[in-house]
Amino acid sequence: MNRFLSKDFLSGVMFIIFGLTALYFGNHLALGTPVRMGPGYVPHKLSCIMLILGGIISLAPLYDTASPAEKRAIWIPVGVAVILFIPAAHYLVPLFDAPPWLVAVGGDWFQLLAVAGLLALVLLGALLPIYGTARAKAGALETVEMPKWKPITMVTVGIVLFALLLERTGMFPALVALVLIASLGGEEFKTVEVIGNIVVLTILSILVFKVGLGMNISVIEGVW
Amino acid sequence: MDLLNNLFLGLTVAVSMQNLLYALLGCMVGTLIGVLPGIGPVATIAMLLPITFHLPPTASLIMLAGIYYGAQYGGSTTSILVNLPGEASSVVTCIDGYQMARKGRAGAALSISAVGSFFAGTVGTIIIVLFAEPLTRMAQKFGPADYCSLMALGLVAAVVLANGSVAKAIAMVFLGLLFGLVGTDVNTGAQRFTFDIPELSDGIDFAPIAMGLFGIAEIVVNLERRMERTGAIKVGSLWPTREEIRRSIPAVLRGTALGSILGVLPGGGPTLGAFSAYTLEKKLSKHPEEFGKGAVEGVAAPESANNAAAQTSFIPMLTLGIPSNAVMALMVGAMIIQGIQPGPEVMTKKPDLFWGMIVSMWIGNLMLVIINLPMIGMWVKLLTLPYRFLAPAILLFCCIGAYSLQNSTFHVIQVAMFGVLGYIFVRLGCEGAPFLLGLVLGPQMEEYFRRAMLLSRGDPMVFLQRPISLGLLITTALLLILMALPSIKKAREEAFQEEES
Repeated sequence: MNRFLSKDFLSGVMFIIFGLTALYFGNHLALGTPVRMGPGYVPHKLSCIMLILGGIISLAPLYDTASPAEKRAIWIPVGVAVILFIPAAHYLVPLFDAPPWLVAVGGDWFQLLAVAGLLALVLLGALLPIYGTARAKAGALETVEMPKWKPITMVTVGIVLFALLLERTGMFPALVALVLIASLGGEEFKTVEVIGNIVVLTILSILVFKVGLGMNISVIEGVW
Repeated sequence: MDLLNNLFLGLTVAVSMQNLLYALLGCMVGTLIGVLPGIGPVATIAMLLPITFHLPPTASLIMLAGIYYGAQYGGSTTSILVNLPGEASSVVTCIDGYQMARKGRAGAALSISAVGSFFAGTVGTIIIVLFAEPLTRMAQKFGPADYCSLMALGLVAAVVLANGSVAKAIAMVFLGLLFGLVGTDVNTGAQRFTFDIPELSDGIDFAPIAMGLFGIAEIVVNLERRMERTGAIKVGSLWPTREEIRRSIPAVLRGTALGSILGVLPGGGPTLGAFSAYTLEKKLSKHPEEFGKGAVEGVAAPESANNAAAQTSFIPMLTLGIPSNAVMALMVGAMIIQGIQPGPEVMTKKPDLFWGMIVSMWIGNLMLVIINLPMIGMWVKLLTLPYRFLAPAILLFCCIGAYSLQNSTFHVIQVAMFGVLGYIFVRLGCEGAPFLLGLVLGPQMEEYFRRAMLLSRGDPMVFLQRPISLGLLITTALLLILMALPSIKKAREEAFQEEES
């Protein structure tokens, strides 16, 4: 099985994506100083932590399944390079006439660690398929189960349609759409059962939401 | 004397017609979802959050609490009768409960578990009463730095008990904290991660996230697998024999004690309590070979423990505002929806809510015994309801509920989006509970952190200089180190494997 398709590796990638997204969209927020923190201070730190943790989570399963030969050939050089990179970036960059953003990255330990983690991940991601092995022994890692697309798609489409229909056409058409589509997502679909379900649910939701809770929604827009 | 006055105040609140009704409703719904496999208390409470918005605060919290401990009762019924645990916390009850049922002792097993649960619930409630005041008084001395450290401890402890990898659980906590940042920054008024969507300027609403992550994702996962149903067994006489009573009394006592302690711990809760109580009984028993073949202790102890733990896990939430598990995080969310900031002030500023809720828990436990024993036949019939009827109904309630929060379809779309995210979490083996705790505590934690740093003029050492904060941080560090130790790591993995199988 592919080492890059384990649950842990992909979770790490997900955390990295969230970290990068937050970093990008939080970029315009003022950082401030530790005494007077700006609105961007905590988001920035959290994004960096997200990246660092994501890096660790992705790298761990790759390292666990590495052969001794691979560790010697790839992991040790990459590890040394990344570990040397951290102090180098912190202390050497300000000595040269570096662009200000580079100095800023090198000056913040959090950011530096995050960058180092990403660097290690990119290097290993490039080197492993070429010089190491991209496959691990069966059973060594927990692979992601292939999702069944039908239930998740039908449920999501059903809810979105419900949201679009609710205010335009009223509760009843939205309800019919949701129940119909959601029932299609299940394994069995019996028309009589679904119609029965729609009738019961319509009565129930009118009783609970419109009569009981007194919500201001129309059953069919313009009619009731 | 103060205590009695408070209890009396609580009693007057709890026995009002409206609150009794909501307690009963909560217990019924709780038992129902406890009986039905496939939806747990977390998903149900998440889905009912918007509805509580329309109720008075006390009534809504009483109802939600009823669902939580009602689910513990209901879960045991299906464990014993059809070998299907309705809840994670009654998984162990299956082992001996179902064997008892096969021997024709189903009725006895049910009544022992109901009475044991009632006893445990009563003890749990008394413990809440005793500990609430001292803990609250202690918490009122906390400064911003102490609070920040306390929250860190709460979050780390939640991680210890998450299934699977610790690193992933920690990352989920941070992801929750990150999502908690969305909205207007309290100190400067700057918009953070709102993408110019006006609905997001107050922050992402808690209810759609909880509904999507727990409700929708759970439905989708259930739709993917075929839900097996087996025929129910006849209940038989409800009266246990003298021998069974003699053997179950000490088991109930031990289960209650263990459950009460484990419930208070941050990250603890009914499931942990039940598992530990079962293991303890097996170790102490003179006839360990009977376990797995219908030992009455194997039903009495875990059932008492899960109920005791369900009660005492309210303590950190009510007194400190720190939720100890996903259900408590939802309760915090429910309080915030009602405009109540959970924490030590709740007891002093809203004594009627605080004591009313505690007393109603005891009343709820009493109701559950009454609901459960005579009505067992009805609950068992419900088991035959296929999931394909249930799933659309739950979805519909989620959608209308989300809409009703602010009459906005944006919330419904959010439910769908977080449903997809929740599904991705499930597929990647990332636990939702730590995320939820991070999300709930995030905004407060940032505020306390910034206030503490401002007071100390930007010196992070303040977290180590204050004795309370230092103690809490040392405990946090110890927990993290303990988890990294190989032997504990192994034991933890084994415990979770047992839980899954």
